[in-house]
Amino acid sequence: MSYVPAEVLSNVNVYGQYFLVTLRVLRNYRRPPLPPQFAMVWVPGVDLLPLSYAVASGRIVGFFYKVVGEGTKALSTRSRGDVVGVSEPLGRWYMPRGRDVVFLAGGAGIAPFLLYLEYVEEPRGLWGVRQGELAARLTKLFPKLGKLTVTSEDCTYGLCGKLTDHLDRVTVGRDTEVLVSGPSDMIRKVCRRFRDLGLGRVGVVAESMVKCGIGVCGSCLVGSVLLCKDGPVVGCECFV
Amino acid sequence: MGVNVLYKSELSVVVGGLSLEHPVMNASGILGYLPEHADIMASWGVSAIVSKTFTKEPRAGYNPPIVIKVRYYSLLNAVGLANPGIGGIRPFVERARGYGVPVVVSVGGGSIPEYVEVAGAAEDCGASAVELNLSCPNVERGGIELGRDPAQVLKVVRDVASVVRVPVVVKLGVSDRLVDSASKAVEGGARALTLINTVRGMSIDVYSFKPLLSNISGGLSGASIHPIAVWAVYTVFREVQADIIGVGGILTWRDAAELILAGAKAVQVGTALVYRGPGVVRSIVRGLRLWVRRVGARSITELPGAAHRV
Repeated sequence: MSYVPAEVLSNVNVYGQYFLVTLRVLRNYRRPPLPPQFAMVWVPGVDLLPLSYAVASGRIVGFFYKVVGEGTKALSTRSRGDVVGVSEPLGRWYMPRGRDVVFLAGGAGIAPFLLYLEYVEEPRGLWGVRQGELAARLTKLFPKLGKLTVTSEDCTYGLCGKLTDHLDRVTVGRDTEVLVSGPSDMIRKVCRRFRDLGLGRVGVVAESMVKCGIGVCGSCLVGSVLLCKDGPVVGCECFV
Repeated sequence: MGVNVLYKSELSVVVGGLSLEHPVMNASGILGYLPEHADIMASWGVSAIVSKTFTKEPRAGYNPPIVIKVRYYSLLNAVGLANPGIGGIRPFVERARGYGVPVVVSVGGGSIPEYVEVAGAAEDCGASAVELNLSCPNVERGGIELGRDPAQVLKVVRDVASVVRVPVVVKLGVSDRLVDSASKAVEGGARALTLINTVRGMSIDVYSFKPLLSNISGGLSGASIHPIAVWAVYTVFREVQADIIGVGGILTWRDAAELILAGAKAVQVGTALVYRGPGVVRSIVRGLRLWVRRVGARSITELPGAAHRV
């Protein structure tokens, strides 16, 4: 892992514990980030966080994250002009082969799909949130998110309930490619459902366990895959 | 088939009582504590699988950043000997043994009795050899402090060698008293010496003024330390009668050949797996095979220490 220094341009509190940090990297990437690659974001002296690229345009990159621990809390306090470290894009980029792509995201699991939305012409799928307000505000920042159907547990935006309550609304054909990202309970439910249906190809985007980022420490093993090297897209079989 | 047999005989070596199909194993510390890791390690084509260091109790290791890339083709790491403890040895060894190559369990500890206990457990679990890590720069007790003190080296190696029957390999780091420590390790019953471990180092971010590793300092590996490893192997080979496993900055077959000429019978590869990918072991083996022929040797066993004869 080596770091590119990056200056904070903005760090927006989207809603509640959810933030979008935008950075300008101070050196060019050797290869531009592609979805669903992720970076290890170093908050100097505090922590190193695996975060999916949500924005990648030249030297401007962005990460959508939820404050869950000391590291993300420290990142949320960084403001314009502060410098953090960002690794080169990690993991393998993955573009679905067909045109019919379904995204299923739970909460902060939407992060890798924000960059996908730039590449997929007609995205569809579900994004499950607890509070509808989060979906309303993030959609203002990423208008293409409007193509996904939101499910909110507080019933204030989109469909009422959990994402897994509305899986039957997702039509899946033989050539549909389904990408899932979110809490492991949700992933398991989604994977079981599509396995039972026997339709579509399902990939899970996962990177939260990455620690060293270069295949040395072995802590990001899912099934027989090291997420940092051969992920972050892995098969459903790792979760059911 | 006949060609394969010829290849095997050209590169096969015996080091510290271990028969190896070729001289290239992995260095301890790259993966190596879960059964699934053994699957990945076997796919590299190593002639022996060397585990990550196991300690008696589970260790969570340090918080990230734990490994960073530094110039040139080098890594700085302070993982903190993260491992599942003694209970993790059996699942790892059993899976690794299924691949038909010797399995070396790296053993660490905060005290001499702990080394003895973990080494004994490794033997019970079917390890082909134990490698005593007397040189980890990233733990507060044991580790490098122990390896620097020849009297302690003698004691820990003797205590371990008196209770396990499998070969005891001793991994030492560079220190002012390397030759003394190496000599005492052999006196204590070491069948082979692994030289060298990482060298203590540090890196600081020039924007935030903070050290990059959460542990502040760590162990430097990779191309930066290769000349140090060559020197260490050369010096110990000259002074101590022992089988040597050379490790430190091997990125290509040339680096491996250099360590062999300095006195190593076998070598270990670590950082190269990060920079050159999983194919690097096979690439080094291919290069060594051609090199053995190029220099007119019938077998690689003619070459360890050859630099001392010119």
